[in-house]
Amino acid sequence: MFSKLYKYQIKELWFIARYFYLAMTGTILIGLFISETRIPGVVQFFNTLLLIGFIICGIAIIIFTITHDYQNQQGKRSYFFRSIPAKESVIIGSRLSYYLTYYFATVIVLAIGIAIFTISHTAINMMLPFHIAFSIIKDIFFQTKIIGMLLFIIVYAVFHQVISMMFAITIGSHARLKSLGIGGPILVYFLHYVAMQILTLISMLFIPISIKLPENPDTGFEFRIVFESMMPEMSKLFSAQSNEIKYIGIGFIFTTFIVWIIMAIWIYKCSKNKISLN
Amino acid sequence: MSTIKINNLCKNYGKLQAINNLSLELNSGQIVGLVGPNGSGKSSLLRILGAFDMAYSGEVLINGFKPGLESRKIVSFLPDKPYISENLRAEQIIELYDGFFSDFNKEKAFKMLELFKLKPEQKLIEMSKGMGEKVQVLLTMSRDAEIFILDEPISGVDPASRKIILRSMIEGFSEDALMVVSTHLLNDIENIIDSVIFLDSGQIKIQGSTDDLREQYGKSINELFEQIFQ
Repeated sequence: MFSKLYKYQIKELWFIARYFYLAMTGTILIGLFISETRIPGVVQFFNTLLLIGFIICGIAIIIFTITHDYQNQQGKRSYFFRSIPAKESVIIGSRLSYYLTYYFATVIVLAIGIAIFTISHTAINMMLPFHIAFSIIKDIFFQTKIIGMLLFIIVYAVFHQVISMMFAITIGSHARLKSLGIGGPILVYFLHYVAMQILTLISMLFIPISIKLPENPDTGFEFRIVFESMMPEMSKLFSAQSNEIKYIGIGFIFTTFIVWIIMAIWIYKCSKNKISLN
Repeated sequence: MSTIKINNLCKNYGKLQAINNLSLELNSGQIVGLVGPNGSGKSSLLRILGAFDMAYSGEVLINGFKPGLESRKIVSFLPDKPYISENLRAEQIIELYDGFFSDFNKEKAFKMLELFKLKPEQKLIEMSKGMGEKVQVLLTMSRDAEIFILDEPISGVDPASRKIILRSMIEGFSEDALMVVSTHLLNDIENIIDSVIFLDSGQIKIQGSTDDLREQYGKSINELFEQIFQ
């Protein structure tokens, strides 16, 4: 049942998403074609427009991913989706997989596209062939630690966004919030966002685990994990004893993980026992 | 054991009480008409029975189970609004149902599609409102379910099509099953229902077999409805 539900959700959005992915691929190809003309003003103007269009397409896919899930949970397709005799854990699992598929696919396409636009932009700006521009950018970004950190940030951000959206749609569609329509999930998302910001800040300041930034920036992107909280750094900064931050707290990763588990349980219980369609 | 058993059911929408302390028992082997004016609580009651609304108080049992996963396996529900992706063709929707519901009878669905003169390759978005309703009816009735719950199944179709739909509903209905049909088109369904429930302000006003009620009041069910709710 999991694979059937997953395929159904993927196929349903694919009707629309395929056109956006096609448009994104098209903008990359047109961008490369224009870059090949090597006319600086023209290339920069058109590539900026294409890049904006490219990013808008990516954002549109994410928005459609969310609205389709809303339609299945509370909107016009909910009477079909909620009539399927599947366990709640299977339904939630399939929703999660559907979100992750489209989020990651879109992020990967966005990352590849932006990289191509950046390389072509660098090549035109510095009057270099593409392969030399690529090797310059590669030297800056393709360091193991940066790649690892970027991957971690992307995976973390995607997971956080997906769970937040599922939480907002599920909790924001039930009980008294139901009467607000789509406003319910938006309100829940906003309140959750504010609460998470406060929690993240507190965790960064007080949980004693941080990244120690390199003292000499010329040594490259070097960092190490230390068991110190960020609060003493901030105190020094505010009392003007220091004008730089050496530690960045990463305790929020643990608190966020706990919050994800709480949200997942909340989604499960609400979805199982408090469903109330319009 | 009753197929549907309801004890002291209450359902509120804020301060508005849609269902007020309703108790009811329904057994298999009959078609039950659920009638009442707008806002009488028909759709609210059916949504609860279909496990689409769990925010209620009181006891509801479907074949001994609370509305949920177990009841979804045996209840075929038709809501009063479109509920399927409009981008799909009729044949794709039938395949979709066949994949999700183990009791779905694909052959029966295609036969009904033919009976309703619908094209399998036609997308839902290309169909009229009435054609879309026919597709939804055939999907609901093509399940070999134990309970059928139909909320306003014939409200959007022309009189000629209503007869075809009603005929197909009866043909596709197993004698061991229970069907609850909500409608305000009593004239059309009077001849197919075995018993009727008159609902008003979330409470049962009259309940009984259609034959008994006709005899008791000396009127047709439709005339009785008009007399009570005028």
